[in-house]
Amino acid sequence: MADLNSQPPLRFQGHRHLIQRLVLSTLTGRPIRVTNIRSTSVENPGLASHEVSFLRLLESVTNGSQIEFSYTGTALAYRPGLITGSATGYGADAGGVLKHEIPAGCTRGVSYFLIPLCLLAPFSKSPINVQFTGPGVITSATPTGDVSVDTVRTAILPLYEQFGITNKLEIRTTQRSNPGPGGKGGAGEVQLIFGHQVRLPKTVHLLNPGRIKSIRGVAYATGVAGANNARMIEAARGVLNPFVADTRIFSENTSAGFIPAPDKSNPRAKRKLGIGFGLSLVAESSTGVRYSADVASPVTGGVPPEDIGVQCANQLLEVVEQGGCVSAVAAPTLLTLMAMGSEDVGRIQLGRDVLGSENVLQLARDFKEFGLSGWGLRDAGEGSDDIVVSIVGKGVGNVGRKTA
Amino acid sequence: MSTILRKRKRRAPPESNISNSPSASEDDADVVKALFQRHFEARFKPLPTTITKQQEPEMNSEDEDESAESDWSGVSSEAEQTVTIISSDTTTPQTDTLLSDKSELKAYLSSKPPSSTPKSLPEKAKATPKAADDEDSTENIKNDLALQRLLTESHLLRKDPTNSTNHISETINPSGKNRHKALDLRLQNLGSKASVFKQAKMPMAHRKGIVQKAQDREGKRRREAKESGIVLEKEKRKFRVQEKRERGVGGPGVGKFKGGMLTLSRRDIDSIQGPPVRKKGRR
Repeated sequence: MADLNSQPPLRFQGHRHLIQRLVLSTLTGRPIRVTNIRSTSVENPGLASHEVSFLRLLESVTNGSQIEFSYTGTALAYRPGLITGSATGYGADAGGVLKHEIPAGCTRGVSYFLIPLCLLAPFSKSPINVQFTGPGVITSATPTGDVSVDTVRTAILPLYEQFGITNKLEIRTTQRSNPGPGGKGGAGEVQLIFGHQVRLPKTVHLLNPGRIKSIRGVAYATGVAGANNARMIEAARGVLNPFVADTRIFSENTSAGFIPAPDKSNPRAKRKLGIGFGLSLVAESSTGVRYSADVASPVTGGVPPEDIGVQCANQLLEVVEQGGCVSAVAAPTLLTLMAMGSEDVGRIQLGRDVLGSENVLQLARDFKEFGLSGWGLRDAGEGSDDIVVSIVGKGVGNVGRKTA
Repeated sequence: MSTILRKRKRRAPPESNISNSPSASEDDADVVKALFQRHFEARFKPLPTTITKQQEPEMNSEDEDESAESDWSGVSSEAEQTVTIISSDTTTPQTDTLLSDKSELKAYLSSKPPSSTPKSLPEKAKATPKAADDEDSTENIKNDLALQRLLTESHLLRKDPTNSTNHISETINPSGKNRHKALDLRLQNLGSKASVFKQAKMPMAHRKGIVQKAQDREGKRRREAKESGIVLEKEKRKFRVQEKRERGVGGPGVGKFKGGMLTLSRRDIDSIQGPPVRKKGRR
């Protein structure tokens, strides 16, 4: 550990891609220092509440990590520790469940926390079992660009299967919630169980996108009439059925959750939060590639469910059109896992638009900063516009399981 | 179809050979199609009326209208005829997809991520026991077991001559005393140490008598067999496995301590020294 600590921190600027840098820092063990976090913003400079919440989560699943903010919150120094997971005695309760409360002002969906946590989880020392509660858990897709919890479960978790991480993966959605008024807060409850830890993820070669064979989806309505589900499904089917006959969209209608809202007369008062509806669609190809789309009703309302259904279906078609073996939503997860794999060349075919997206490009630059291998690019040929990305794994793997 | 045929003939009688051949083949194709359809409907169920069928009368009626107006059938009108509007209800699912919806819904909405492996495995498992001629089918295994039991436990019945109800079902499902005996046999077969019918405690003389009697009986059987020239199974030799001698705590590990003196045998000394090391001279 001494040699890691002696390394000078990597320097970054700005609040964008903060999460992915924190994850890479934790996985590689390099300390980072981020400055100029919203330093020009007049209203809310510094770290936002969801970023602070993620740092708290990071601290609770690791042991020995040091986090320092500047006085205004515009600078952050992070020195990563060992990923211990939900070990009893390190914040987890007797059942091994780590409770993470998300504050009320959170505008991001719970997938903002779930996806990076899933990236850390395979390299943890003990299983990760985190329950997200509190007045800020939004399980649906959000206007801020987060996907719904269903998409994480049905489109992103299956990716881990390709790396040999298959057992005991679960995302339990005990309470659904759309964003509350103003897009802030929600009354959801989600539990992530990630019980499969590996020394090194397997090397993957994904070069054949295949053809779409089935489309599955979940339509959710929280605290509103279940007819909304039926209307969304009907509209989405109208778009998708001519392309793929095997289209099934399931509906889930739940009541809205409660959050405590104490007032003077009744200190135990509660109120409902996070009503709305949305649709999550996943298209699976013959080779197991999954493309996903996600649309939820806007916070202000006023959009009929038919529009949401059609919009989601069109979005799915667009994602399928982008091609490649992974969609833009899942690409960072897949690429990071490949870079963390054994010292062997993994290959993956990406659509041009996916590779050229801002997130993926920044990820490539950050990989370089963290000393991970560069990417080799070549045209896929065979009449497709896709690009094959070759990534050599770093072979860092799971420090907590070095001896295993 | 017939109207079209007539028209073409009228328009170009000299090149009837050329013009006829495609239409004839079309006709053939229709006949074949109809044949196939009849065959299919006989085997399965009537086919739903297809879109093409609905459009045929329309085309015909148009043709007739045109023929009423003029003999010449323009190119443009034919182009119009080729426009087909296919409308299908895409929003409702097919009926067969609804059947397995419940189980799939449960699987998809559970907390586990959906796996990409096909779900048809349980159906296959159901299909296999139907094949009766399969060697591993449950029916055959059951019969095998019954036969094995019949062979190993049939002697229980023979011993009881008073029992008049000696038949196969009694052997397969023994009752009463025999059931207990059969159960005991099966238990011993599975590795039970001793029979439950063996009396654990009895006077020593009693036990000795029983053992002696058994030995005598065995001896007599062998003697009689030998005299009448029957070859019996070989006698089981009881031979003792030489176990390591137990030594007292704190005593010497080798040799024999007697009378305040440790005596080492040749073998003991060899075992202490180990294999002889061949010394080589220096070169």
